[in-house]
Amino acid sequence: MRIRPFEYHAPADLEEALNLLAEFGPDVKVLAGGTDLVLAMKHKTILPPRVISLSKIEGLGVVREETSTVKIGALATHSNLSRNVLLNKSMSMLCKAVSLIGSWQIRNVATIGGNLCNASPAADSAAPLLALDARVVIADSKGEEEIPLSSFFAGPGTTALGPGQLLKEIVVDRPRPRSAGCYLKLMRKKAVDLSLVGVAFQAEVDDSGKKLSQVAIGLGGVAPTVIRAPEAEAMLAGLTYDKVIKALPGAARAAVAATRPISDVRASADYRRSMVDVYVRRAGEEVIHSLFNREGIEK
Amino acid sequence: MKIPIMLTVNGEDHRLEVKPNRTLVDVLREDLGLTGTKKGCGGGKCGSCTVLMDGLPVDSCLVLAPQADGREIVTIEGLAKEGKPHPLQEAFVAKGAIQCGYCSPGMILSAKALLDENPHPGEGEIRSAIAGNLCRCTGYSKIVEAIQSCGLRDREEKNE
Amino acid sequence: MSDLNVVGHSHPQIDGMEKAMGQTQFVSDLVLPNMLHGRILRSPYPHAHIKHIDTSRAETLVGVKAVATYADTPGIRFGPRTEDWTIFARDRARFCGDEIAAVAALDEDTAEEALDLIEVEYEDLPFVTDPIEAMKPGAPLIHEDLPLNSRSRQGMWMRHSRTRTLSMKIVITPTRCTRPIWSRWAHW
Repeated sequence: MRIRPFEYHAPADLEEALNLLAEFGPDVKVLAGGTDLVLAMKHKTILPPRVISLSKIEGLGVVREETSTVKIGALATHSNLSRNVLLNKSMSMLCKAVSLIGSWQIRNVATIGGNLCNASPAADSAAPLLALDARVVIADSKGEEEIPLSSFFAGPGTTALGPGQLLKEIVVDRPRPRSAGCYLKLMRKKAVDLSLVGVAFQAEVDDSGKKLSQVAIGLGGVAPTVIRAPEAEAMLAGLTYDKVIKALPGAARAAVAATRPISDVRASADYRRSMVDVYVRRAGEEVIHSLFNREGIEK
Repeated sequence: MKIPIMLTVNGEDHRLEVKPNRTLVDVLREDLGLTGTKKGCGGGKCGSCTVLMDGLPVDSCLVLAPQADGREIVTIEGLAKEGKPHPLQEAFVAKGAIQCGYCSPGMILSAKALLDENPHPGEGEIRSAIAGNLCRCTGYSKIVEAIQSCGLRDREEKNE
Repeated sequence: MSDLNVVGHSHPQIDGMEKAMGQTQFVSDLVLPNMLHGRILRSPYPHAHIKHIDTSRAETLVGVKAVATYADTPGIRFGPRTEDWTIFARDRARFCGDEIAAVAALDEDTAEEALDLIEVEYEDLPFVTDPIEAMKPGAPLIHEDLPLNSRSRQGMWMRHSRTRTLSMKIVITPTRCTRPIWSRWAHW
């Protein structure tokens, strides 16, 4: 499959990249890992006359800890993220999610920034990040801006990035020690598939250790963008263990009500709805048991 | 507009000028004559184009040639040392893990990368590591056995 | 048995190591002097009339040495059991992927570009993707001379039973057969 000729630029640093982006206007694509963009260019669904590769820029793939946040560089590969010690300690749900993307070969090259900018409604990094209330840093030649991830996705394949802008890093508040998350990905086979449904369930207990203080449910593959399920979350927040377990099926149904899935070649809308119900319950149970079984927390 | 790049392939440096719309697999096969790396789906799904890039398996059909600038590439031709096959290559033949042979270069390289970081993988870890390498002939059992036997062999040698 | 050197001994696959080393030359690995590169233009439609094919722009592309369609062939019909195949589609595309035209060029890029320059006018036709549906009266006919889209089933069974061993039992159940006898050739 030939790729139509294009102009290739590999700026040495971020400033140069942003200046080029500003200069080139809308007729340019940013190349991160390439597993989405190069494929699209082979299929001729995207034909950019110019490509700006970020491969020469150092430091864009770093994961670092700040006082109250964790910052994930957009160019971090899924492989590196899945094994990152800091992320595994503070938000292992995200590590699990990106470890389920594609194959090992894909994960070694594909980046979390690319995954978000490709903006598939089924992107596996999106539901966990949305459940973690992540923010994204958008950079252009004039400066940087941080916006909530919930404002980043405009529709399938469309983001809030305008001409001249790129995604620089992802910011997540460091989850409290008494929190837990779970990501479940439904596929047609055991590996190497897009998600039919992706459920991210994140929760934390309050200081007494007896009640859930925060619940967040991110759902992928069941709406034009990744979504949260606020009604479902509200049904569970503030409950003790016994009450949560009882309320979970109802919350799962409320989560289903928040979805607008389509039927496509991979699954019917009905099946997706059924599986959101199952997966919210399953992920919820796993998180709740993990939280309330921790030392010092009452069941 | 050709781009000058430096590829280290199987330990040898190659300075090349490549058009950016060419992929790494085409440069390896056509410019360097290394046809051991195969082209299958062309879309990063079958893994027959797998090469090691800085030690990790990648689908070379999705890597633009200039993206590989400055990287170390290992192809199947780079596994044997002075004509002596790599233990994985011996194991694949001994266990009957090769039929038509088309998936084998990519499969063996993924397996090598796995053993480099996890010398004694369990079956689940092996299957996960080769999930991106499709085989239409063998049904994977013999391939998994071959890879496991390389792990076991190390353990046995260490116990001696 | 000790004087036998094949039976009773383990023999590695004769070309196993060569394949493990990546040395085996598959067809796409061959490079021959003055070699041309070919590409096939395939129908994107499962069933469509081919109303018109214009290869003129492909033929004049620099580097293209030949462009062929059904019109360039003697129209011989062939096939393993039923001679219902022509090398290129004659009047209709009968499946997604049916061969419409072919190009030979100096390099792969040119061959692929030439495919994009071949203009084919298709007229969509109704199609079936289920063998039971295909045998119902009124189903779209794949071949004009094969009513209900099937050869005589009795003929097929009899031909088949001759090649089977005596120990095989053909069980016909009242439930729908999901692996019909003709599925063994489905991949051709």
